[in-house]
Amino acid sequence: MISIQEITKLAELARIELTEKEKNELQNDMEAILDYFKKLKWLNTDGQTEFLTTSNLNELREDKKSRIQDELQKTLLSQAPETKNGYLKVKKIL
Amino acid sequence: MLINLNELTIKKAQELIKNREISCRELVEIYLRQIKERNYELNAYLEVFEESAYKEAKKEDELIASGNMSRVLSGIPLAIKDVILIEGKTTSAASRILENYTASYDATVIKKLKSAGAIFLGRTNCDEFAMGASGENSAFQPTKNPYDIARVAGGSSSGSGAAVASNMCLGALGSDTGGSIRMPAALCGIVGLKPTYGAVSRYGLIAMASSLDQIGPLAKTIEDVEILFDVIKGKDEQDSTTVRSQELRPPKEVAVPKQFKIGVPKEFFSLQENGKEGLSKEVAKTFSDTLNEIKKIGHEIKQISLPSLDYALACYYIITPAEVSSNMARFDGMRYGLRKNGKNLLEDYLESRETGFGKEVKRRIMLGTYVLSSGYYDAYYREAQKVRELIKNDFKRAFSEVDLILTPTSPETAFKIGEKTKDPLSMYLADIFTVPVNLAGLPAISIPKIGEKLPVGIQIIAPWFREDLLFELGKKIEE
Repeated sequence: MISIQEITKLAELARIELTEKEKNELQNDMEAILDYFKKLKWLNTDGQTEFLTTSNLNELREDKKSRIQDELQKTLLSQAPETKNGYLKVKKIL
Repeated sequence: MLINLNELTIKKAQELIKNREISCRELVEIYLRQIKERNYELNAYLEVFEESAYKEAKKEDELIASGNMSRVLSGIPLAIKDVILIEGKTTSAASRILENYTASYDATVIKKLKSAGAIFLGRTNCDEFAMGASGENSAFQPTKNPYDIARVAGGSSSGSGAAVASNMCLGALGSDTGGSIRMPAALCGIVGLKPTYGAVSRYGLIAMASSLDQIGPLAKTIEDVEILFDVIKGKDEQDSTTVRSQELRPPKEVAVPKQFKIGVPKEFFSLQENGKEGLSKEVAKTFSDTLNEIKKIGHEIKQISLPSLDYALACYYIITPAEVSSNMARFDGMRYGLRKNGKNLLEDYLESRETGFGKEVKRRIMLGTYVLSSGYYDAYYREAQKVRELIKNDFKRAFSEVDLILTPTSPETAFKIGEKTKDPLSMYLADIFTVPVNLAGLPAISIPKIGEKLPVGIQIIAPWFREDLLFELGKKIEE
């Protein structure tokens, strides 16, 4: 059973302001889905290692900073709702 | 010249362009006209790039006129799923939270297609942030199935599937995390390929579940899908999960068996019973008929068992929401996308995300937050990762016995719009045959057959980086 309080706490963590109606619907949905997960109990995973990667062939690049062009910086900032002097402008953080 | 769009393929169009029998502009014009005729009803395209398509076609024609050989995809009109960034165009992931977002750069696959001369006709509709199996989770109305507009086109690459099937493009790109290319391919009666994880760069793809996502092609024939795959695949510096696949595949002369040994997992289809619980009669019959066709042309079919397959769906719906909840955190209204004005910073986040995200996205974020939260992480996420490893090992073992694995793509043909929206779990169950493939990172293709009235998809799964085997058997089934 997942409680409305748990849903409220999760919504806070997920930074979404759910309505009461949404919380109730989610409670029903999540109950059904979490119930479905119970079937995993039937599988024996003792001593089984966790999945880490689909391939062990990752290549890494050098830890060198590549210079970002001014044009690209302008383009990126143009998508922000509020900017000031080339910075993102947001409400007080602290 | 009179062109029958039903008969035109990328391969044929390549010839026409190369032999100067048609110009890029003429080709683009034909498809834009088709879009004007059919898109209003089908809602496959969210936006048509009419102006830039003509510009690109003009440039391509000039290139060819000045004596250059036509490029691999010169003038070929393609549709791009609304989760792949094209610089200067809106990419919204079919979500209100990115409704007015303009892409700042080209995805690697877009760069590659541009270098090959392809023309982008527009961005196609999909489930919001690629979350869904029907196309009904789009914030901008679902895409309809060209075979029956009362039915879904399949998701999440619904628009791409419908656009190819209704001749509104010659090929399309989609993305596949749990079946999102193969499902619309199956329900719309076309070919769709999910490449091996790491075969195609995800740079410029709006991430859903980063350990599962792959971009892949949809087209009418296997040859067309192969042509597109060859252009978009490859190692990319910008995506460290891409792999130099050429080094992994054995040379062609040795590699492709004349006679395939094909396995059918008993967990998904019983050869004895010619079906399985949950499989519609139409799909079971079509699948069974296909198996007989394959036997007739000289290949071996045998029943195999991958016991962990019964748990793949549960495993997938723990891991995917977990990764989704992490990937969706970037949509906070600060750097791009919708921003609602609250009383303080926290409220900006809370309101922006509440307003901008649709139901299914919220559902998955919440599920993901739950399974990753302390107290539940071990019980759910950690367990699921162990199950995932079991699934990968089951496939490894199976591929030591057989060359390829065959299953239906979808347990049923295209269902009616609205049929599954009240019960999210029933929608999740539609992915039962496709998700194990993503969990293991394998390549798989959906090949179209016609059932009684609606298309039925046949899924072929190959070992890692063996897309060549998919194309080989696929072409034989196509004939």
